[in-house]
Amino acid sequence: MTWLLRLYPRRWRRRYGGEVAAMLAGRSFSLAVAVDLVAGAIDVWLHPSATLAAATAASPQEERTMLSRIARLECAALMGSDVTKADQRKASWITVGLTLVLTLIWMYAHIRIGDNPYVDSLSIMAFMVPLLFSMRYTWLKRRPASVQAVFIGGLSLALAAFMLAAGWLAAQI
Amino acid sequence: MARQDDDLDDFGRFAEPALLILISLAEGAKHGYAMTDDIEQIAGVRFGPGTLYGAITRLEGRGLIQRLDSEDRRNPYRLTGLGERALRARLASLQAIARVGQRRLATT
Repeated sequence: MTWLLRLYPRRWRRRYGGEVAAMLAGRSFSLAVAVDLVAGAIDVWLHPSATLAAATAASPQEERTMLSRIARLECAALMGSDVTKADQRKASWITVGLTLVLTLIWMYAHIRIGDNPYVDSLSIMAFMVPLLFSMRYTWLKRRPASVQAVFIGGLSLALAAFMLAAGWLAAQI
Repeated sequence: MARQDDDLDDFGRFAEPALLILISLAEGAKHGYAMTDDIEQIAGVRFGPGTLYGAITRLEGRGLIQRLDSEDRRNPYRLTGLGERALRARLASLQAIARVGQRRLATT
């Protein structure tokens, strides 16, 4: 029945897995114990702060669950490994400010040119370009300038090309 | 009201197992299997490992019990000073409730 311990978080298993495995050693399969173990695993995943406190204190270098790190915006995959609060503020201001500016430019173009499928299709760029650009301070922080340029510029151009193609299709229809 | 560290009230369904673990450890340090046997003897219930360790992890996280090092996989646990205070407080509270219940039964 020790295979059921795989349902528990790794940090829990490292601290308590051996003890529980020793308790289970030599016991034949019991549905009641299996259900109890599954319920225990669910409890640990649902209440990590209550059930993993001692395990976390024992291994501080592996502190906190991924969920709690995401909640704190500390997840490298989400924001980058060394993003500061100032970086986050910069990224937010760039996203909001540049979106407003590009939206005004797009509205001006729309008024000047009138209904045009190509202009309409590019409206989303007013948000996507600032969003990509803001990644300089988060996801792409510490990346070489060339990587940033290729990622932001390349994705922006690819997205613009895709949207223009969509506009061309709309024009044909 | 702020939660006290030695309060078992917010242990939810693990409050009873936690109390029985503290009672078991009041006799001396024990590992999980010995606790299970002891609790079965004193209370007539045998906790599964999921329930037992649900309570142990909470008690240890709160500093009410402490894990001791061991040569084998079966680490024993002992009651801490905080755990002893929590146990005394809970038993006093249960005694007071039991006294009221018995007094009321005596008058019926």
